[in-house]
Amino acid sequence: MKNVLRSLRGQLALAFAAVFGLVTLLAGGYQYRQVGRVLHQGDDERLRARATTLLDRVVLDPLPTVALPGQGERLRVVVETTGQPARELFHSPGFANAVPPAGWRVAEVSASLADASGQRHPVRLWLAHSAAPLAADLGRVRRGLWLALAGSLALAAALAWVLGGRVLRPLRRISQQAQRIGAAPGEERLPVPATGDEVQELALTLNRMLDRLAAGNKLQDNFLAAAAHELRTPLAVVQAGLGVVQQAPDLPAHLCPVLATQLEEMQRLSRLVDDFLLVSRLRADTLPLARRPVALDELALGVADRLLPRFRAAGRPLHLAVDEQVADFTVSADADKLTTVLLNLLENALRHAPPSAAVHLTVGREPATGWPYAEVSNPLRQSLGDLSRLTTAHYQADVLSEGAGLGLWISNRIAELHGAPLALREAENQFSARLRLPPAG
Amino acid sequence: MRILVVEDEARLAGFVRQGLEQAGHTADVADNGATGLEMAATLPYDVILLDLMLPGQNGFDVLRNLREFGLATPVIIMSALSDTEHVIRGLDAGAIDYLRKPFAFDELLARLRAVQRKADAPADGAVLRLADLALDPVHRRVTRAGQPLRLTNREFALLELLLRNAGRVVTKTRIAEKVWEVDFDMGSNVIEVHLSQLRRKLDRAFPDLPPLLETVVGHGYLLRNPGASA
Repeated sequence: MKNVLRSLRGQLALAFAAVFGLVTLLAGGYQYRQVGRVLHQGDDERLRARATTLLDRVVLDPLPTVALPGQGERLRVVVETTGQPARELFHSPGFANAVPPAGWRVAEVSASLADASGQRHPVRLWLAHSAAPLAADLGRVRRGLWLALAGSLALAAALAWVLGGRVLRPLRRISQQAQRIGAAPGEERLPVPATGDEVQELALTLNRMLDRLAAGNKLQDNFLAAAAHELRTPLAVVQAGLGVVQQAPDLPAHLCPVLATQLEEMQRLSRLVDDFLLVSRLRADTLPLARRPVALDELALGVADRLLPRFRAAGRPLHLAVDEQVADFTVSADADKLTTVLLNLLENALRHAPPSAAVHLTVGREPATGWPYAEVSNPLRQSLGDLSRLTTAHYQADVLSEGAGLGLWISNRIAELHGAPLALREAENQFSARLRLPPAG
Repeated sequence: MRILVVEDEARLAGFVRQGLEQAGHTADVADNGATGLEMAATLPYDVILLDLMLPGQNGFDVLRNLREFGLATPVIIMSALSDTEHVIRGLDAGAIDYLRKPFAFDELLARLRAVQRKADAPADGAVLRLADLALDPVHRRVTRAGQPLRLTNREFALLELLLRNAGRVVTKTRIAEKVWEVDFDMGSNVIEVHLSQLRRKLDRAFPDLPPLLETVVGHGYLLRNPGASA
């Protein structure tokens, strides 16, 4: 509700309703006053006419005679004689002094009548009747006006809502499309309504901004891709050179560990370059997936094989488990990209697990979905906190550890491209990252 | 082995040649595709290391021309192009292997050893057999009861080792040495898991046939011919 009132459409409906309501209230108030005056006048005239009729029936000759008031009427008749106090001929109960009780209306008429001696005397007659019928009439008018006010408010709000919806529809389309475009605009642009108004101008301006953003992103991605390609050759030269020197039979023994370290760093640099290339393609949504049937268990064991020497050097046991109840782990996937994911997950485990803690690589099949999965789990030195941040671009769980923090983001994006994001879990000081893949076929 | 390196990056080509010669091979370098093709056509090379991004003819063209000239010399592509599509294209064009740059020199030597092993294997009579199991190391084919088995490189190497020692217990240490080429405790149950995978393909996939692979608890593993007397 709060959001509706804050929306342009809601505010438009509110403003319309307020204006309509105010105008209706003022007009209604004026009309009520006019109608009230007419009703009062009519009532007064009816009362006076009735009083005149009753006065016409008053006679003083031969004896003072007064017509009795009707039901719901109160009457008082007084004859005045010069030099004497006024003589009351009649008064209804409770109407002795011609002052009407609360909720009664009174009219006074007078005439000069002759008595038996032919002398004329002023006769004054007061007639009162209940004001309730008039008040009821006025009440009905009031209710009608309130209903009209409420109706006009509702109508105004509904009209404004519909009109607002129609006017703002292009803006909504622009907003929805803008949400789809996300952080890295590709070829998609916002719809431009041919309305010739501010909305069209806004869409054109935003599209020009998206063009600039896309051009900037493309430039950045091209640079990253080109830099990654260009870096590979010098890296290959240095790595091959170091490898050749390491193989030299006359290499002094004290240089062996130095060269081994250099080679390890070179390999790390190579992986970083690969990561940059992957990042640029993932950001630009241009990473090609060469999907083929892949045996996930074989791929996972192959990756574990590659990293065994590093696990051993770090003094961390790597425990492998393949669910023997599952006959087939074939998935439709890009084997190279899955290798990248599992390498990243295992390297992360290698970095973040406490010294000598075992890292587990498990291949199985989820009972609920039937999807094969590969899961890397390891104890943690400390809690990683909000796990969703781990798959945010360039976030690094431990700023003091090695790596640029790209690994999990890359892995997650690749997993998403294959069908499902990585399932990250931290419980009882144990972290696990699960890569789930839809079965082939 | 006599190896031709077709690589336009002179320093890389120089290091590769030096390393190959250090490892006991003979190596020549061609810095472009046309020269490489000419040298491959005139000299009997055992293997060609071929870059893809070459001036003039690119590596794919060189490979296609080699095959069109009727030269069956094994080719290993080494390239900075690392996409799967390039790897597939290279292997489909007739390369036997694809090495992504930058690469560890050890890995290059290991791949050359694989080529060497294939070349050294006798053309016939090399098939290893045990009961209804047959393993052809040259063509890297394995069948059981006539049905082909699809094994990974590790599984193939494991089975070959066990077959060459059929009827004898092969210890984990020996497996680590021969298959993983390490002489230390691997700090992992990797051997057990690979053997379990092998057992799945070799025995469990054939429930009607007697199992061949046995675990000798505390000692190692052996392949036993179920038809042979104990």
